[in-house]
Amino acid sequence: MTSQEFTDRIAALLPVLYRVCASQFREGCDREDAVQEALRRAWEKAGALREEAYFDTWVIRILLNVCHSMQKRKRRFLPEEAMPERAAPDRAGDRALYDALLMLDERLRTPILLHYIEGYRVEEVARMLGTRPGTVKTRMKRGREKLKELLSGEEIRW
Amino acid sequence: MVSKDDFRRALGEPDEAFVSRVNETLSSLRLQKEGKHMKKATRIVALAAALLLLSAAALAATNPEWFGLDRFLRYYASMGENRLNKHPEMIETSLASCELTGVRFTVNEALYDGIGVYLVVEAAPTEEGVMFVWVIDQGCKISAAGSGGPGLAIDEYAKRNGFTRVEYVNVAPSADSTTFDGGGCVYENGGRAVFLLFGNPEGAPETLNVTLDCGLYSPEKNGFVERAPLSFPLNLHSENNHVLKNAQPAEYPSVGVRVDSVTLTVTPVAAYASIEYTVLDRELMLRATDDGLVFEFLDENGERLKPGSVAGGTVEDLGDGRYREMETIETGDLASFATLRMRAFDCWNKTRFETVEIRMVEVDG
Repeated sequence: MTSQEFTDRIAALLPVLYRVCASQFREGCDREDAVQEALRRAWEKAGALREEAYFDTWVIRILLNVCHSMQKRKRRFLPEEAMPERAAPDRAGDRALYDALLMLDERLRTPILLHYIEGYRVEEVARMLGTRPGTVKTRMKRGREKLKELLSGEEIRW
Repeated sequence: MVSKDDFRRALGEPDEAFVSRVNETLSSLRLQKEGKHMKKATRIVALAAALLLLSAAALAATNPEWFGLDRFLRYYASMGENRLNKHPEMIETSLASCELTGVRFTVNEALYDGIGVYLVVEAAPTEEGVMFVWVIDQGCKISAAGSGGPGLAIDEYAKRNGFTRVEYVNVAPSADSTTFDGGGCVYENGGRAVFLLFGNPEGAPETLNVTLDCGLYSPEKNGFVERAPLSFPLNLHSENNHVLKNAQPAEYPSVGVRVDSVTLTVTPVAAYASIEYTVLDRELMLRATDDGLVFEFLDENGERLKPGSVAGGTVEDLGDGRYREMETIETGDLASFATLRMRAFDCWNKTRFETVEIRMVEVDG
């Protein structure tokens, strides 16, 4: 993969990368740090990607791993009393839906984001998350039920 | 009723700051690629007494330590030991220099062992009060070696250390070079930036003709304002090399692969491994490893051997389902390489597969 191809593929993936980051972090600076580190790792490893058709799933997996590492570091060093109030999201959108989504456990939230919102097949989502398709389906089912609960029983059209 | 589109809208579209960060990162990575550098993680200040609050007078008073190849290789993340102290004749010194306005570039040390080539190039100010920073490091933070601290913004670090000006420089292989594929930078006292470049030249010529492109960069003009080449020949030092090959192929049925050849070139710098394998069952390999198949080397306790002087491996597609993976491991006595324990693993999920013991036999290099 040439540098230009890499850049072009990332440009095409930009909205997805943003929403993955937004589903992990409320703060814009964290999202930016995550995507920067993920791009650096993906760039370094691009030569080892033998199936370019897997590029999207591969980059998203790297990004998710980076996000998880950052989340762990934040939990380790941020005392509970220092936890900020839930901040208003720094982007346009429906706040209640965003809040509900972020209240989901990350293991339930991410499959819903990748499959329903971003349109990846269950098999692709399983590859991104390093799990089995059956597990993805189970988590999505539980996530849908939980979201409905959080939205006071409002029906959600998936 | 809400829909998935409502959720997508709620998450939003990339904002300006996010897009800028992505663009800056891609530009920086491409700039590195153009200069044949790999991004390096840690920017460290290689001072013997590395306190951020040292005054400029104190820094100027110390004799600058020659940040040579041996130290740079050992600093360069997760590396094993080398044996260069036993073979100082392999390191060539003070090979070439050139000057741009306010800066002198000098190739302080270089080594070429037939597989790897390593250069240490210093950018030193010819005026007082100037600190040089690698152009890739714009926007990064600098911290003292071993401090573990978060570091200071470049301008703040320069100010605290008595520098009146920061200039951005770059040292990269020439545009037509395919030899170098990695590097880093360390900041020394006196405002110097010291670059390490490394790579794997094709073939093993007796003399490697190296041409570097040295540049002075202007952030205001978003480009290089001065450039000059730095050319020199580098002699091959392979007299201490030993080559070993596998006595038989190795099968990895869990991942559908057969390793056909393992060639290990042991030098005082590192043990370089070239692993050629054939994918016998592509579907199995992809399913098992998610296309993340790599090999690693273990000791008798099953622990991973330390990497050699260049961390990380590369994989090359040879066609017809055949691949070549290059790895390095810490150098050592020849006897320690009589049997290699090589394990297949999936670099994404870190799933480990079978380990095969491969008997190695010394051959004529």
